[in-house]
Amino acid sequence: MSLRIDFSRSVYAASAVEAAVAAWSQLGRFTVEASADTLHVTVADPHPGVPDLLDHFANHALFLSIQDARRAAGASA
Amino acid sequence: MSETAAPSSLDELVFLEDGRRVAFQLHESVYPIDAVYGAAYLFLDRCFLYVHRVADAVLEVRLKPKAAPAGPEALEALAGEFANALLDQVVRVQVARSTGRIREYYMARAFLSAPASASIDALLAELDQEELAAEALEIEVPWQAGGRSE
Repeated sequence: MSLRIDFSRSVYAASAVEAAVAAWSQLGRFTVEASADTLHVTVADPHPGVPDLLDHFANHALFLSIQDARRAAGASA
Repeated sequence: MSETAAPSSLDELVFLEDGRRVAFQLHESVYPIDAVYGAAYLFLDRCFLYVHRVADAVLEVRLKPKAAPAGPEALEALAGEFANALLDQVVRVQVARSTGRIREYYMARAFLSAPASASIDALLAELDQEELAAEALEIEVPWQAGGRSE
């Protein structure tokens, strides 16, 4: 079984998605493929004990992306 | 993450609701991404959020409550809360942008017009003055009192 989610690169920072993948890597086999404007994340063999794994993962990636954006805004101000 | 749902609306802001989640389509000319980030951040603790670019300058935000399945009323209330938060963040972004220059000016002025060393010197001088000044209340301490009685 595998799950898949696509992240718009203009919304989700690549570094944030990579950091989220590293954080969740114990709970499935994550692979990331990048295209021009999308990051495709596939999770093979997701941990059966974690319902909504992809939703949690997406929340983490969004949180890190927001942090990234705020840090960048602070640095450029 | 796809839904087939009839659109509902909060006066002007249209959202989709499929019984499990609500979805908004937001134009970035009205809702800049910083405002969307700000509103999303406020809901991360109680909702699963997914933000997706569906077209140039159009973002779709999907919210799914983390708690047990919510009814249509709860989802509509959630949509209303998110719409309010979004508007709040839009105002914050606009105020931040419009007052950014003046804030920078005040900060620069505060740092440049009064050298730090001068204020530290003034504080030290003030402390010296206080130490040299006589005790204002003239409260006798025991060893002084004893000395006088002898």
